[in-house]
Amino acid sequence: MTSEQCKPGPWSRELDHLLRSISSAFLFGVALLYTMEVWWLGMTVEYWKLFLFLLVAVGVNFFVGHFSGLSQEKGCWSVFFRAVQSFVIGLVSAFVCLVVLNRITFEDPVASVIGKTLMMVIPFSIGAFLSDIVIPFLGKRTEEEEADPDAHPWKETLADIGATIAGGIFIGLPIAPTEEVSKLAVELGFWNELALIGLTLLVTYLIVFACFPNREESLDRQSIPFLQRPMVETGFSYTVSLLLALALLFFFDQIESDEPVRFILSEVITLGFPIAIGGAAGRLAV
Amino acid sequence: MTNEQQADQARTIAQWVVIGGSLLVLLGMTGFLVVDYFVAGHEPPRVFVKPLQAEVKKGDEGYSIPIQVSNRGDLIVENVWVQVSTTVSKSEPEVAQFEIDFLPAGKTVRQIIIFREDPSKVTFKHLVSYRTP
Repeated sequence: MTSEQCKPGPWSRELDHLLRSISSAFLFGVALLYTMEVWWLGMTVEYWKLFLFLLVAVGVNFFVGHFSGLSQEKGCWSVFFRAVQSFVIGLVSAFVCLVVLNRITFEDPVASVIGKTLMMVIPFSIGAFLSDIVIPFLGKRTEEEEADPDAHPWKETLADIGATIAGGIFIGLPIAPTEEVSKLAVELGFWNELALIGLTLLVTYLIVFACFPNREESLDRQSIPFLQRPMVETGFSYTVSLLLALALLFFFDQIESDEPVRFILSEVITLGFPIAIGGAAGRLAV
Repeated sequence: MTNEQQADQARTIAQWVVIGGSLLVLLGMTGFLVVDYFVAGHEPPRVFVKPLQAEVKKGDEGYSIPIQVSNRGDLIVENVWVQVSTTVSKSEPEVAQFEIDFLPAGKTVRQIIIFREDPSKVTFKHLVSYRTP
């Protein structure tokens, strides 16, 4: 097969770009999700401030892309369209998170839904806009290291565990001692918990594997050790993230000795979301 | 037309589909906010408290009853404090109170209260206080 035939098509390239943007949006935005004052502001904020948020979210991306040259796009309109596209990716990503975390329900008034989502959108959209820089930068070493087929499987697995813990602590440490974790956990329903587990696995898979299709293909071979296969590694790292979440909650006295196991599990799943995303970024970088 | 030209044309279509979808979402949301700002009323908050006596359930701790609190005004309210008491002629009235952080316009929430006596056939009295942002 020639290199011309291997070249991805335009729709495939757009999809890759979209997946990269979503991954980067979650990396930048996940920490803000765990700030209850932002949820409340989303309900009470005046309309002119919402418009300001909208303008800032698009405007920051535009100025960063146009004047700093951090965008691959050339020309004002191209950068503007890219900024709008990143804003919408950030908006949808934030909306999905808020629905899954039960901060937005279908009974909420539309203005309240838009308010809560717009309050979260700036870091998500900046993350989406900078995806062409952030994801390749984080994944640079990862791609280089794939060239070594003789790497010891346990060394790789231990490196993954270490990276997951390092990245997870980086994101999870400031969130674990806060009241938001228990407040979110209390209000999570059964379906929210299932959706949160699914979203965590999906996003971490996207960050580590879907952004690097070549890496996914090379790792999918039968010769690759079991724990290094994409699906297995994603699930295994998620387990490490959940254990880390449990440890952090215990360390910060967020779990009492007489706490019901069911509630502890909800708290662990809730804190496991940002920790797993941090861990995925860690695995990408190390 | 060469393969390269076809690829360029297809890429343009793919990109324009994404750009068009993005602009549609952005303009749709902005449009909603503008229309809602000018069309929606600016009535002050009106908080209604309604005990749902048809839904009383007997349990080990007593009788649970859902209290429905709704905001039928056009503005959000904060720190909605509600006190509910049952009025029974012979015995002491039972009093319960709770607080809701935020109640947006058009939103209804349900709070469960447990009374010792059956509240399905008694008369309720309530007090409400709230703060406007």
